[in-house]
Amino acid sequence: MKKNITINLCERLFSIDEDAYEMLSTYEQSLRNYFRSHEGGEEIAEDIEARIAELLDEIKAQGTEAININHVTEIIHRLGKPEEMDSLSPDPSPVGEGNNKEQTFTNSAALPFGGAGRGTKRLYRDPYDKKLSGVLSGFAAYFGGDVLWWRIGYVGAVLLCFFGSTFNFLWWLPGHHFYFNIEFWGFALIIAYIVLSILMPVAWNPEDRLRMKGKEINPQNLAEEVSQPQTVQEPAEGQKGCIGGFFFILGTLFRWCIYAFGAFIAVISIIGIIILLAGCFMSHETWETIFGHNDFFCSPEYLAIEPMLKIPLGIFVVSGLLFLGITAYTIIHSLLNEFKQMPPMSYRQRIIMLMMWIVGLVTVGSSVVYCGPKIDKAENEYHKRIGEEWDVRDRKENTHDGIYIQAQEWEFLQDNGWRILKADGCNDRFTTKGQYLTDDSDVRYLDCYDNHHRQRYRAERTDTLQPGTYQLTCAARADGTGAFIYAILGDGQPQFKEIPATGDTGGDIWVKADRFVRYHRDIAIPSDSVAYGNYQCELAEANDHKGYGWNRIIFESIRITKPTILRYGLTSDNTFTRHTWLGQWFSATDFEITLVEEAKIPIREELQDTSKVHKGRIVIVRSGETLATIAKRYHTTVKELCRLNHLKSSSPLHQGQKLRVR
Amino acid sequence: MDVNNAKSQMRKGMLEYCILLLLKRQAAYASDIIQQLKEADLLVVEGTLYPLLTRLKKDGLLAYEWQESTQGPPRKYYCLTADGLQFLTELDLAWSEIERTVSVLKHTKI
Repeated sequence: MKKNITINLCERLFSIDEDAYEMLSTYEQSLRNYFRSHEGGEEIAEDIEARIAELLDEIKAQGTEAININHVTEIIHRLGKPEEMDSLSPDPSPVGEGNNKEQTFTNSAALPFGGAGRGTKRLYRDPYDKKLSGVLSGFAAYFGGDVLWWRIGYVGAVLLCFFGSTFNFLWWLPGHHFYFNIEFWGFALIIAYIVLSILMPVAWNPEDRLRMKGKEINPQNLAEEVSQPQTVQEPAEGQKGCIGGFFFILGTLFRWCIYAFGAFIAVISIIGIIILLAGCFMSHETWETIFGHNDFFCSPEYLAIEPMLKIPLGIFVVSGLLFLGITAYTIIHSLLNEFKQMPPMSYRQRIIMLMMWIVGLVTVGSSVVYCGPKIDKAENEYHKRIGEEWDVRDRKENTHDGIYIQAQEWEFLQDNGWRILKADGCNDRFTTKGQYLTDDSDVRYLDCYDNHHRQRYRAERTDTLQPGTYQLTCAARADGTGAFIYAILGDGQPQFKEIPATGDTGGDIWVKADRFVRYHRDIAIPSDSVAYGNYQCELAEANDHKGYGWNRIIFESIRITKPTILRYGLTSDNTFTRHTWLGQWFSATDFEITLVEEAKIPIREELQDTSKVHKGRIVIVRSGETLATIAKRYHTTVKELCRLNHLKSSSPLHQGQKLRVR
Repeated sequence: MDVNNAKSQMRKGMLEYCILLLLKRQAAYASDIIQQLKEADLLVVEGTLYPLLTRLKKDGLLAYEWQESTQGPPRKYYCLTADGLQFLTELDLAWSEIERTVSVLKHTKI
């Protein structure tokens, strides 16, 4: 299917194919150009034009509906090239004065004719011989040489740049250090290719193709060019050679990568445009529904700079729209053009687009450079203020008895009945988790750290005990001397037990567990102590079989004759202990008070057989405890507790109740 | 030496003379001149004629008048001027001389 137009030539109408018309008008123009310098040149051209009309008339008279390119080719062939017409004029050897003069005219006129001699060869992209966009075939046509060598040279140069730096085999080149980063040149080559493929026009029409090849634009060449079968290379054809195949695959791959990348950029640009437009036309509420609320834009810090930003932001939006619009339009246009949906942009259009794009880019860039730091500064101030305000509120909300305790620590202390009595130099931290006896990292325990050895810490818990003999145990560790577990019975003097400075590995609990595990390794563990045995295994395996340094601290034989308050806890307060704290950290956990039934003889702990020590053990129920939590703590089951204490699993427990756990 | 080139050189010399001869016999449209020259195998490309006609007209050897044609716009109808006739007579003489020279050269045995 061809586009058909009607032309008026010497007052006669002809319908003619568009390509035929292009050719005819080029021919006519070349005639006019050629004879312009002749005396009466205009008349010659007109005469010839009249002749063309006559010939077209003849063709029409034969019943041809529309003049096609073959007709025009035939006519051009018949009438001849302008210089052919002229070359039949008298010989260069002077016959007369007038002739001589005319001849010189003719010669000088030969160059401008047709607008192109060899001197006006131009760079075009060749759409009919391309692997990517035809830049290199254009180069080959312009500078000469086989296009294959150009391609090998280009790809080789790019690869050399990328792999050259990898293998550094260019070290012997003089001044190689000057190529500060050879990969840069690889990228530069690729960028250059892309820029050239944007800037170099495509030689679609025969005239441009002649210019590309550096041939003269004359009717004969035109006719030749037009009659050449010109198809965009099909994948299958002309891919016989190995190198050709390689370039084809490389080209196709690269081309699709470029398409995908282009499409991606276009989509991003369009999204950008939508967001910019949305920002302009959307109401504040709609914007917040979609993009979320940002307090910053309501803050005094932002409102203070807002008037300053109004104009730059307006410029940003407009130039941003321009920039993104051109980007998206150009890419979509090129893609459509690539798939033959749209004629390519003219050279002029390209230049204008490029200029506008650069202007857009520069304007966007400068408005960002202008606004960015201002907004950043305001945002930093805003965040600083909000942070400070939050800190103040947090401190206010989480200060208990004059001591700031973070929420989760406070929760833990409350739940376990701990009170912090002293907190000098404790870095606002009283508990921690992560190095519990077993590797259970969810268990929180009392802990204090300060690398200046300055902390005076005292955490205390209180229990009311009924008459009997009790034992207080806990696990504790420290990395220096001067940290104590203490117990005060009623109004009596405090008893101190120093925490061994075992650091964060080993510790007697681990040693005991390790021995237990080694001892039981080859003999079956009794079925009723499976849970206990497992617990020992967990202790032994903690911290990669190194333990966390925990030691058992025991206050034996706390004899009570009438209901008395027992206060006990962890401290490093030298005003209280009369000892200087010399470490950085200490921890304590698993405080337990057990009723020792046979109170007359203090029970000594025997390392070799730990299970005996705990036999017939009775514990005191603390507030908030249930059968389940106790069962868990003593590594037994609710069922077992019920059996030992003749309880039902639903029975309520009360504070101070004595419970047999073994 | 290219035969075609030599032939075209010869034609070149003769073309003006032949056109004048044609027009002496009968005034004609350019297309008629082309027709006849082509029949005589004197014309390779038609375009050649037009610069020639323009030059001859400029030199005052021939003139034209606009003639209405049966279809289309009026066309140029060329005829020989008195100067042209004079010029042609001289050319006739020159041609006879050339003819004689060639004939002598051709038939004389050296």
